[in-house]
Amino acid sequence: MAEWHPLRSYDGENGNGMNEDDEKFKSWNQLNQLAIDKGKIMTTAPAIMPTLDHSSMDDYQHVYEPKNENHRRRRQRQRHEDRSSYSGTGISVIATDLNPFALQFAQRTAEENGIVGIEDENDTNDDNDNEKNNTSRRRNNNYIQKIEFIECNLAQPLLNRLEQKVDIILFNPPYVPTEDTEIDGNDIEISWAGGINGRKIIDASLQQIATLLTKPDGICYMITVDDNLPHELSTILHNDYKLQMIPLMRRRASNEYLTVQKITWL
Amino acid sequence: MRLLTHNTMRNNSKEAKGMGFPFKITAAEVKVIDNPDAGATEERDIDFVKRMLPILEWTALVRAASECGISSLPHTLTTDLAESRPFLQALYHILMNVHLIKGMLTCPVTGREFPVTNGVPNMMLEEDECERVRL
Repeated sequence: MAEWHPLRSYDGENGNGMNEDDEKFKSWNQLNQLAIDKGKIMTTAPAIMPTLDHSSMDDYQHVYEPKNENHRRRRQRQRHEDRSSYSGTGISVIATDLNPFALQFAQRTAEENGIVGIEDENDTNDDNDNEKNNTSRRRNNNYIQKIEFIECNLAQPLLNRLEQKVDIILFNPPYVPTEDTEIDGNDIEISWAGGINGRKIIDASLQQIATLLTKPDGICYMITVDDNLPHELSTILHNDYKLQMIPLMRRRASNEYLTVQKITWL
Repeated sequence: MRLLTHNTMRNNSKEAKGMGFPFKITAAEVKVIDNPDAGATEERDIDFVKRMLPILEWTALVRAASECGISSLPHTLTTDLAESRPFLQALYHILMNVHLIKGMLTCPVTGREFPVTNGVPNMMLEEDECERVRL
């Protein structure tokens, strides 16, 4: 299926409107509708849920609690977090977050689910049943046993050693519109506070995404809400970074639409 | 923190001027994990290392390994070695199975220290250390 970009898709139809805001909106809405349809189809194949048996209420003082079934998997491991993959058949993943509690939580979740950074298979204290379960989970996840955690801002220390070396970036930014001052908080609010239009962290991430992604096949998946003005974001990516962004999947989650945006090279 | 990860990180503070690589490792605790399934994953592991070779800074890796108590790496990577399966397998082990659990990473330019705790390096910079506010 041909990839199409919102700035390109209507260009051939009326020949003029590259800068017509209303046309742009119309086109963007069409893309959103397609993404909603895709989201409906995908409900028949829900994501495999990680076990969260290890979590307690204490964890959620500092880490955003996974709530929505559809998004649980993503949320619990990524706050404003990149997961960057080393290229290769053996997949290696780097998870970053500036909240050390979120990293600890993600580390425990990874261990519980057999996606392990530091693992000593000979050293389990579990009873037999658990051991069996753990082992089978580990086997299942054998191909992603190489997760690493770094406490940092976005992917800051990986610049520029991993310039154009990252195949996939998953980014669930703090996208909730707030005062700019709220993003400098010290606790749970930093997991969602995104400043004006929820764009402060998203905008700061664009340069890094453009630096890290492999050419020409790198892909970044990013969550946005409509308050983030995604059509505007798409224009910035297109003009400043030669990247295209299209809504891939879109679902209503309580009072907002969450959209998975797919960012690729033009 | 794996040695592969160490090889990808740089101190990007303003003061380091893009030269903050590689970090000197002061190791307090290193864990080396033997992979019991090594035989089964041999093909994949070798393929993985081959793809990593162009990314690696070899001198930095040799020094980092020795700072973690592993002195078996040759000082230069010859093309012969890069084709040798036993060597690539051993290299995979060093890149992926040697973990710095606790220690300190020191920037070679500024001397800025970044602690590693429970295997996780804390690379957070203060705002006044950043080139521009990246957030």
